[in-house]
Amino acid sequence: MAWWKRTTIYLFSILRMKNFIIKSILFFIIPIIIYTGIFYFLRLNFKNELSQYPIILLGDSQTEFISDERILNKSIGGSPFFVHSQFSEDFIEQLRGKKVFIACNYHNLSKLYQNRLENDQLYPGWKSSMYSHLDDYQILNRKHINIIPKNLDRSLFNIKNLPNFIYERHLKFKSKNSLKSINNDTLSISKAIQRHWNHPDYILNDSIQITYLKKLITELNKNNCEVVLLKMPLTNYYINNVPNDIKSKLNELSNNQNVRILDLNKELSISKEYKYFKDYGHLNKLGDSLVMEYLKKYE
Amino acid sequence: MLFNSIDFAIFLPIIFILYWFINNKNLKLQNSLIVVASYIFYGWWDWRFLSLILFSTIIDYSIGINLKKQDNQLKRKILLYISVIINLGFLGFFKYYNFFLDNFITAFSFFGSEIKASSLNIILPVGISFYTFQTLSYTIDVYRRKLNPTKDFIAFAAFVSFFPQLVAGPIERATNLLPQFYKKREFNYSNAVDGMQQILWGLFKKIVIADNCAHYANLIFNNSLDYSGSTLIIGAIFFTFQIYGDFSGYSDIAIGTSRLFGFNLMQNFNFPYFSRDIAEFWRRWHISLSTWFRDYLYIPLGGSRGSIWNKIRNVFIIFIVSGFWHGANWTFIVWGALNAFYFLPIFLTNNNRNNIEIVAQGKKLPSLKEFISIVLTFGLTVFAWIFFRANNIEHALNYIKGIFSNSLFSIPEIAPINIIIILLIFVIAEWLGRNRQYAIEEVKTKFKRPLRYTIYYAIIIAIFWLGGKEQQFIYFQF
Repeated sequence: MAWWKRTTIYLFSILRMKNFIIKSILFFIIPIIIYTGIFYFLRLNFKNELSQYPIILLGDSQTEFISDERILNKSIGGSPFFVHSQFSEDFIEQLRGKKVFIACNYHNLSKLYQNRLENDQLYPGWKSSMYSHLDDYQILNRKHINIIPKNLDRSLFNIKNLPNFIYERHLKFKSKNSLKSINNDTLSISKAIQRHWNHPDYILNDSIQITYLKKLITELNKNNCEVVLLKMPLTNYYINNVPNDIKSKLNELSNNQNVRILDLNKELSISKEYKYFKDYGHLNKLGDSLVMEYLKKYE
Repeated sequence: MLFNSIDFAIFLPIIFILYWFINNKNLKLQNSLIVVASYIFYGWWDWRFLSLILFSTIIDYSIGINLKKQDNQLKRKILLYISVIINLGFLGFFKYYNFFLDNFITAFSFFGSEIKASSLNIILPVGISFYTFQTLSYTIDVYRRKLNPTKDFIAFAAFVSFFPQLVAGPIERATNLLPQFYKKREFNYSNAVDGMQQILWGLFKKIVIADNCAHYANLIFNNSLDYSGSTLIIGAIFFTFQIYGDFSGYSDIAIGTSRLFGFNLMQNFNFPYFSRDIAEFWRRWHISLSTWFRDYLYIPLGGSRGSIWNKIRNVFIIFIVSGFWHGANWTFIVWGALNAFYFLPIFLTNNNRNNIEIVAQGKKLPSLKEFISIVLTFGLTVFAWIFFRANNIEHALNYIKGIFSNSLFSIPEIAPINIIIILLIFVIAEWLGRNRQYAIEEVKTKFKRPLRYTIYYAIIIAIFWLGGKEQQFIYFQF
């Protein structure tokens, strides 16, 4: 083949190849830029939103449906203090000087949650769901070497982080609490009691919860936040079966950490009125409205 | 290095750019880069076993050259036997040593003699069954004078270790792949786009189909005694899709990657689950292995010639050896034998070549007869896969016993709707693309850019969104 033919073919192939490489890069880069752009826009928006609220509620399933114009509700079912601790670390600038409610109740100190983290079979999927919350509002997952075991297979990138973000911030609180009432179903309450307190070494042994609750409070105190432990109402049948040392430990914890407890059991006195509850300790829509009314007046 | 890993996602573009930009002018350099890249690719898993590949390469290269020089038939035969013994010797040692040892001990103890021998802790080198067969095909073809031996050692080393298909096929013939290393490769835009498309589809099959099905198949097979008959059927069906998604997905990635480098590999899967009989299934499943056994074992044995008993013997040999190739376990042998039983009736009645073309060609849907044939063939295949997946024969038999129990018609304990919907969409996509080499091949030419890109991005999102937990490719263990 003549040299000029060879050169033409070579140049042509180089041109086609460059075209291919540029198109391939664009094919991947454009969606990455769009994804990242949307993510950062939402994150910035969330930071602004966070700055505007005077009260932040770091809650759990008990506080999931609490809504008030003064309160930004960041509730995650499962009482994960390590998740809230990570959240406060990520957004400490926006939290500084604010009033922060931390939902904390007796069952939060049960070893139940640590057991779930250590043994996935107890509640399949719970552990990975809690771990994924550590990177709410992050594009790339972090290692969290103190919490997540090294051998756990966890990808660096989770495409669901963006839709989760949108769901968390813009869709979740539009869902409504149910009107269902527990009535006098003490059997289901007994089951919850069994679940929370049947482990022989339940008493204050959940080192993960305690450690991260203390860490969270310390971090918030250091940043001039007014921390309040929010104790949501529970049914009296449940309260009567909570071990006494747990009850005293919660008070002890608040004294040692120098934080107030807002005990809605005492303030609202509804623990005997089961029409406000949908199970052992979760208020229904009716019960929630009482809490919201109370919090409106609360300074 | 796994195709579905970050390591490979970094490795591939680097090699691609080096290959086309730096070495475009020099074929030898280009082949050398392939050898280096392939050795890195393989060594990523365990560098110690690179010596095996290198040794096999040197032996077959030298034997090939000597076969050409030698006219004496006896000496040629000896050279061929040396290659076969060395290659199969490695394979036998690493893959089958413990199996034979255990079975000898069991057999002797059955007759009352005690033999004391302990198993060795042998690691099976990844892909040994694949590259061994590939190099063997070279020596046999040179011996048969179907192929001229190569004098270019680098080209031969690249042929033996070509990284896209090194560890799990397709098992390429020297007659197809080796000449491609002699020719200058020109970058072809259309081929490269096609390659990327096939890689994408392969990743979808592996990550979305196979890995999701693997989760439930493992759960059900590992706890088979706890589940109802209906759930066990679901477990077997999930494994059926797992192995197809896993292996054909790997082949798609391998073929697509090769295209990026200007190579054409043979099609390894041709929509086997749409087969109307077992003979058709075996023409469409793991084609590179089936044709290898056909050409180098079945035909030398006499193939379909001779007496009826010879025919039956040959069919059993090829299916059992094919089963045994997959692993040193009686389950694979039974799986092979079972397929021979399926195949024999249609073979002996000369109906094994009734269905050559893909089903319902030019039509949207199959006829009722075709549909029933597909379902029946699929059912037979699912049943056979139980032996393939089971840990041992007892496990397989208990699994089957569990299926045909009173709970066969009960509501299954495990029926993940999301996975079932994904499988349905997958089957529809495969059906629509069954005339092509892979299901979405036509996307590139049939659809305009907006729709084309929507499909690509939908697949990418599905891979990230619906992907199951990362699993090793099943065929790595073979």
